[in-house]
Amino acid sequence: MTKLIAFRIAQAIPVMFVVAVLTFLLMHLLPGDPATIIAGDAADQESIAQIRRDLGLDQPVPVQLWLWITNLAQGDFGRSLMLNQPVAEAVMQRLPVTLSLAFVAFVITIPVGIALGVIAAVWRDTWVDSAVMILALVGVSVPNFWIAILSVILFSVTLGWLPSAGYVPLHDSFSGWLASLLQPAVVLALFQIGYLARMTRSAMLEVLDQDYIRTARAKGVTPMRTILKHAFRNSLMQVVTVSGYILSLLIGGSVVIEQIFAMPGIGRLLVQAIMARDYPVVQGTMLLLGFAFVFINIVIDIVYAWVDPRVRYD
Amino acid sequence: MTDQTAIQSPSTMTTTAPPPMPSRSRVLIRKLWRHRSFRLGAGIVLVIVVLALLAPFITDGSPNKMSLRDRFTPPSAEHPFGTDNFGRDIFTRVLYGARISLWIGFASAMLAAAGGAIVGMASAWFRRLDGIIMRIMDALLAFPAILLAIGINAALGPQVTSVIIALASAYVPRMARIVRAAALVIRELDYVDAARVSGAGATRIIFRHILPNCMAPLLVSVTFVFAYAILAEAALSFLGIGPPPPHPSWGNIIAEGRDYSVEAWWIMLFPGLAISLAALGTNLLGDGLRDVLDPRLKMEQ
Repeated sequence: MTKLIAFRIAQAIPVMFVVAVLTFLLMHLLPGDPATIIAGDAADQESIAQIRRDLGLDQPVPVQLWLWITNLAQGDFGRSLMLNQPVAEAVMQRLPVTLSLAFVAFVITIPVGIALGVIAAVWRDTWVDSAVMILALVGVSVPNFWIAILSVILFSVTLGWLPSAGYVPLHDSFSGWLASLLQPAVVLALFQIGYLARMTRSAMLEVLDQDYIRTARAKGVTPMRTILKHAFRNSLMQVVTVSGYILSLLIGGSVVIEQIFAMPGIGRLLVQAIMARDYPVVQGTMLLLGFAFVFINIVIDIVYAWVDPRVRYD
Repeated sequence: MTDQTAIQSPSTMTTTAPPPMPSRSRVLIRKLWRHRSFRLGAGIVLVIVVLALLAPFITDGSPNKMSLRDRFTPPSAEHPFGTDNFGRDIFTRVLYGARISLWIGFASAMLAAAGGAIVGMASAWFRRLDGIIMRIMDALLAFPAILLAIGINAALGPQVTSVIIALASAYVPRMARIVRAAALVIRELDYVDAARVSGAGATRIIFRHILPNCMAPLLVSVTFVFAYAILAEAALSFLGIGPPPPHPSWGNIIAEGRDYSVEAWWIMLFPGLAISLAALGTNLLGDGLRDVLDPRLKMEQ
């Protein structure tokens, strides 16, 4: 197990390096000249050149790339132009919001999605299966920001049950935190619930067709026990595999949902930075999120090995 | 999705249709036609495509024609979907929006498939490049597709073409993995050896023997990417980094109607329904294709 963890981390280092290089290259495709933007409209050539020198933009691209990588290695992600603070600091301030949102959505998605998938598989080809699968299909087909707007009209404007915008930090009040997250998290989870239900159903159906399930049934194991102990456990592998992807989808989706519920998270920061052409923030946010997903994937791999001991030896 | 479509028996596949149609493709088409969700999905998609193509004949107005006297008209016989804050007819805008949204979905799915086929094939054929290529793909996969699309789109500027390039690049790694997995299995099969022994060159083996047999898993994922791309395009437009505003893309109409979502709900309701219907149709179609083309699921029936 330790060997596996060490191996996965060693494997992640080149990936993280490539993530850093890709992010750099991506931002250097930007058509605008950052120095001109920072200097503002009234600036003369002199001060633009000065800013360009300060930011190192007068250096050749490979030199800039080298500086970017060496700075990253020292934990320096650059400085925001619009906020006048280090990018890492700006991201860290907003990280709890996005993580809370993704976490609550994840906690909703996993049990609901799995339960729906198992129910559909157990009652396969009945009306229960059809109903669940239609719901799941709608879940993966409806744009979540649109549902978010409709949901605000219903639950916040008309019924007044839930706040329509804002975020309450966890250390201020737990109930306020949960209330502020409930609506955005449920809306955010809809797509992933549909996706997970569909995955779980097909994973379950595959297992239910195996000989050992027939054996278990034949020797008189109760249906409940057959499904939970024999079938579900073995279909768990596929569920673990997609759960990392689900987490990544949730964090990606929160970029959009944060806009609607005016939540001060990373997604809002990213969109503001794009509008303001604050390229260090765009670059830094993308990079930190990229690193986060590399890390999530390592965790998933380890969980995978823990669930299925066979994986350790390959 | 990727796991199930990755391993594919070559016997169930069609090649690029030569004039005398092999009976296998006819069997496949018959099976697809008998598949309920495929039929429904194909029907929905077909209706939307036809409506989009015939937009100028269905409505007489232009999608951007303003009429300040008719601002915020609720749905009526004259304006079936109502009008927006500039008095523009929402029905016309949604119809023309279908053209933009479907085009973006189609073009990015095709581009992603082509890119994925090239990268995946290169990875499976040139084994020495495999490590590097797949590490780069892993790095791209580290970003959620929507985030990558946002980043690329921010770099390229708000245009329809950059949305297409952004969405396509976001889905290339997934496609590449699918093609690579399929190609790795197929290149070890006897008939590839047979082709090699009978003197076929690398180009011929790749294009005539391996690539056509990777088409089934690729086709299945193209349909799903098309559905994702429609949703992602709408999200990008909504965030203000999609096709620039005068374009009546579905996401743009929702974004413009958002400020009036309580008083003039019809502005955002109908384009949202259109997006949902288009994605639903494509997903149904994809489900049907997967069931018919994937031998593992076929065994269950």
